[in-house]
Amino acid sequence: MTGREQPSLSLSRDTEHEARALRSIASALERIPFYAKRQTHAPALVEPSYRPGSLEALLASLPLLTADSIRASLPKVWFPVDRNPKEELASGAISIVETGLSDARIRLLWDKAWWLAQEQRAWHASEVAELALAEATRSAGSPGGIRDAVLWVPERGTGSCGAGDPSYEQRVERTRLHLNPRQDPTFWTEAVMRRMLEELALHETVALLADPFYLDVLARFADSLGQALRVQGFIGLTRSLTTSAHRANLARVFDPKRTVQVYSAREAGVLFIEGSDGLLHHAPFTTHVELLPLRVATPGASNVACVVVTTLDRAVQPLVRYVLGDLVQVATAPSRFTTVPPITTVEGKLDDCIVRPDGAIVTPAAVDRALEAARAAPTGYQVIQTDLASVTIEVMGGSCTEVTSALAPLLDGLTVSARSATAIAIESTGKYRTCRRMTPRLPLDAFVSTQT
Amino acid sequence: MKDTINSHAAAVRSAFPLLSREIAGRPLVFLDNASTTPKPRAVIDAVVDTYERATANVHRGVHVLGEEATRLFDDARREVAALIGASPSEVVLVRGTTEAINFVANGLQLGSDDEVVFPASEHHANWIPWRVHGKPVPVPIDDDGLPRWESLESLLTAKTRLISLGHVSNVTGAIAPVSEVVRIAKSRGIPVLLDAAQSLSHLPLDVAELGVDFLAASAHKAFGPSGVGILWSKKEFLAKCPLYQVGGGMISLNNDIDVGGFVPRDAPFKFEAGTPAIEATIGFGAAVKWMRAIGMQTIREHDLAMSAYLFDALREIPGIRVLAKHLHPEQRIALATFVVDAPAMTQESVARALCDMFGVCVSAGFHCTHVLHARAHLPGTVRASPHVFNTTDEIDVLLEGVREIAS
Repeated sequence: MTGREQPSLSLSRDTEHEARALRSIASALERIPFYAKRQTHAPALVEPSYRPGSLEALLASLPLLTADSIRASLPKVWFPVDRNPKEELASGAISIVETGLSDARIRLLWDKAWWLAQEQRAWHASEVAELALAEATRSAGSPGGIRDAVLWVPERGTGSCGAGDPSYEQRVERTRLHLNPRQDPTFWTEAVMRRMLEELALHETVALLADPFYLDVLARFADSLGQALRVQGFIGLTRSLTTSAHRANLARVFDPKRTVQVYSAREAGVLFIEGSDGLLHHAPFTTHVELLPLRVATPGASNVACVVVTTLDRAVQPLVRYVLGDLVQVATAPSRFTTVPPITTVEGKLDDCIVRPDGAIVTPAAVDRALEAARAAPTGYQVIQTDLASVTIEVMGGSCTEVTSALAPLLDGLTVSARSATAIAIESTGKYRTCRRMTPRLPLDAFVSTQT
Repeated sequence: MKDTINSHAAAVRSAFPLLSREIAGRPLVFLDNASTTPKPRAVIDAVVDTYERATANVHRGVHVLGEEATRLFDDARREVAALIGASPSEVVLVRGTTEAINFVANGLQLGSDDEVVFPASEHHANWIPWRVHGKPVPVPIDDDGLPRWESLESLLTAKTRLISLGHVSNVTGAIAPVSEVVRIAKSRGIPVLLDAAQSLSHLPLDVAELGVDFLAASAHKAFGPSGVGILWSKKEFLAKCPLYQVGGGMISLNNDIDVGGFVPRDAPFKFEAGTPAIEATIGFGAAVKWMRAIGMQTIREHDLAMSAYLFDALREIPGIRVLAKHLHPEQRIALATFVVDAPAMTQESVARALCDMFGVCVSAGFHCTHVLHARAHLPGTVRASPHVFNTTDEIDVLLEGVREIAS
């Protein structure tokens, strides 16, 4: 906090969490054709009233759902049987969006109103965010909408042929400003970045939600101009791994005490949000989360689990035991809002982890911690596992030798080489990865115990 | 010296399928790298893999193949940028060095009185554009074809709009004194264009250290496919440089295209209208990756040793005239151009005989430098241009052939 009075959170513990989870699962399996086609049925133990232990028992009896298993489905199978998909899609109330990297991309049914509501609610799980929002509301004189901005893969304009760069007015959606109309920040011009900095101020931005990789480029530019980021409240870091270099660059232009780490997924909403204790706490009301322990060693990270999510009270495309594919470090502290334990870090995608010859896996976050500990963190980097025995590291703005030395213990058994780079490759989806495994994908159960 | 050459060559030779070929029962000796280099397996595989696994247009396809092709293509630009220490946003993909120089010639919007100063020894690619755009002011050259750089300052006037020089001469192999030229140019506010066609695969390059304003190069002389090259320039120039071709892929906004207006994308994309040379560009990226894996310093080590070995031997052969033979290896790359005094044989027929009798592939003729040849009173020349895969045994075959023909 910034010396101001720390508010007590307006959110209280969701005592109905497990009961709601049970009802949501039962409803999804009963009313959604997708599950019927997969012959996923709710066992008899689903009962109208909750009993301790019944949620765990039900989840254990149900199969895991993966991106691969839902990729080939059409939208209509995700609507409840008594609703009209054609009409709802035509009305625009529900739209179709994509998420995931190109080799694991899926289409989702997107209820924007639902998304925004759960996002707004989730901020109240963070003291920093809640304070900023309360102050903004106070100064505005009415609750109204909080003026926020987003900086990530462009949702309005893509810079591609013929689309054009939308104007400020075209990029404002109610109170939300979409800062970025361009793909790959490597190709942002100074004019584009100056415009972004000016618009942050013009928009009287209370909250900036940003992919740290994109924000890093803007932060470095702002620093070169001697400017701070003019965000009145807080910055929520979301979408990809915030590296130590990102944090350092951002700290030069924005108070680090006013940044909040957010772990969200387009499939499920905000899952965890950083509290004043430095832990990421499960945001209530929208999901139930299982944290499946790993069955392989994870050097540089402890108590690592794979995130499996079940959406709550969502009528269209409810997900039951959906494997997000992210790994997290589970904290031992008590949970705040639900029965889901807090996490200390998001470690990155399981499919991005480096697999050592001894079977251990190295998470993207473990790589970054090793670089930070050795004070060898470059401006940008990408660790690429090219085969089962070799790793190549692209190093941008740092020493190849220092990076190689810093990672040698963690990447034991692998041949490690480093090369200088002037830019890090972007994925075709507009996302960045700090680690990338190019070896064939392995099945989930090679790494994860499928029960909590 | 021999150990340095042969150990470096041995480490890379097996990467080149072409080198296993025979000509008339003799092993191929490929010494024509200044024309174009053989392609290593990594480049061939990259191109073939693109055809076999990721045939799709780039920046357009929404399917998996399109995304894979796009990633490979974008990665190639990034790879090339890293080789020269540049940002990918400053690298325009063109057809080759010639197009890159024409790009600058067009972009500077030169008038007929605007002067461009360049050595008279330059390749036509760095001569003819200045005859078409602006007024050519050649730096005099000596009888060896080497520029008289001491006269550079005296040629600069208030009308000088550009100094354009080849980093490495494609005839003498001489490395231009870039830092000195840049110092003189900067003191007068004149931009400098560097033709890196012959240096990209021989010397470590860093655009920031070089201090030039433009850099032009081709893939095919750097182990990559033909049909692709780069123009590097600073963002400020690219931002204001006029378009020289327009079409698909470079438009940001075309809502009012029917009434004559459109908004181009930012550089480098605004200069890359139409479907690019996708496979060649991906191959270019693979070539650069291959060179970087060897290390540009390692390549230069081979080059320095090879230069000494080649010139020490050529100097001793009676009946041949070797251009710029007194240059120290540090001032040149391993490229030797010479005239064989063989009665009734043109230099082309000398080169043909070297191929037919010894399996040695070299260039012959004027190498697109007619002015140099005219001013040095040369009736054509033979050019041997080794690279990192060449051994001393191969040079010995060349020397044997030259000795036999000259005798």
